[in-house]
Amino acid sequence: MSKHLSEPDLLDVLEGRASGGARAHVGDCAACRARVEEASGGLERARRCDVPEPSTLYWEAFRAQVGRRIRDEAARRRRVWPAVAALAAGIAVVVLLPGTVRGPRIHGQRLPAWSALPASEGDAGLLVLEGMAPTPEDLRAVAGCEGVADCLADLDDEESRALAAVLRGEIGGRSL
Amino acid sequence: MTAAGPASPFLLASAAVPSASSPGGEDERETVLACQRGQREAFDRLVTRYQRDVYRLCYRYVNNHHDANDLAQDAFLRAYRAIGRFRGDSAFSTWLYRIAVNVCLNFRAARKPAAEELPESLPDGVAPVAERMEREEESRRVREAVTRLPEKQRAALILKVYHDLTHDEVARILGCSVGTVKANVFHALANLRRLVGAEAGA
Ligand SMILES: [Zn+2]
Repeated sequence: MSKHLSEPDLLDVLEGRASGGARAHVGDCAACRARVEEASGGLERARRCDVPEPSTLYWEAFRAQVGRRIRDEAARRRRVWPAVAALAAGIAVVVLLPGTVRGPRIHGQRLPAWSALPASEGDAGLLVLEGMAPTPEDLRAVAGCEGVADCLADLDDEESRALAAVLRGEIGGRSL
Repeated sequence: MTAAGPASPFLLASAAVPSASSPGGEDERETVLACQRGQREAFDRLVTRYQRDVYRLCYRYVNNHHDANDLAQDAFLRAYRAIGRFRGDSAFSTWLYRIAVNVCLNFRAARKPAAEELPESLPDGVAPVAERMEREEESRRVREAVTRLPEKQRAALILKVYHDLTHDEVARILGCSVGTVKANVFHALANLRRLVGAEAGA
């Protein structure tokens, strides 16, 4: 008796698409035959089982609910976008100002990559960001979120990409 | 998306889903393109076409209407958000099923399953249910048994047996090899047989 068949081969036998060799093996081997019969019994049972069918009315309601959720999401995006645009503008200005992202420098020296950032009081970049970024009140009013982090956390993939695109546009190809 | 080769022994008369099983034709490609251009009505058409299939797929995972309804809606919402990224490398239905399966897997991962999940393989001696059951009772038991199958076996079984996808399609949806899909389907069927018992199918 040759080696027993693998599960994929046994399934091929069950599906009627096995090679002659595999079929012959199952014909001769009681163990493999029993496994195919067992799986066949499982298939028999599986085929007798169905999902309760909702009414026609349900499908109409389902479609309507999906549509409503899409509209709600679109409305939420309209609320969040002004804040996204404000953030983009703020970040772009910060990036474009020399000596901020491109140059937290101390005594004219560029910081090594491993260095801690300067203390926040001494970081000109933060001052600019504070001036340009929307305040919590702005964000609450236009976007219904409590802070920059909340606004960013609310963005889905598409919005995050859009924000990145806006930033690329604002920065005009300057590398971050 | 019909099975290649010999007629599939898996096809269920009651679960034949021509909407998902036919290839995405020219009409469907046009509809998807219209969605990508932002036409909301085009997405409605896709919902109409696939809502039943997606709902049934979710139902098989969770075995109740309430959660299946929520999950199916979530799947469509995610599809709507991501449709701009659908490039047509696979059939739209394959892409949509993949989203639905992920939604179901995340749902199950986030909540403790009602019934304890089985280990990957069951011993042969699991006691069969001795009594013959009414069709609905049997159906219920099978659905319940399906929800107790290990994750990969359940996904492969649902897509293969109840949605009549090819092994290739199931492999693309689940992100695994065809051999793995076949092994999982085979184990799932054997486990189902042991779980539901000898008499139920006699
Ligand atoms: Zn053998």
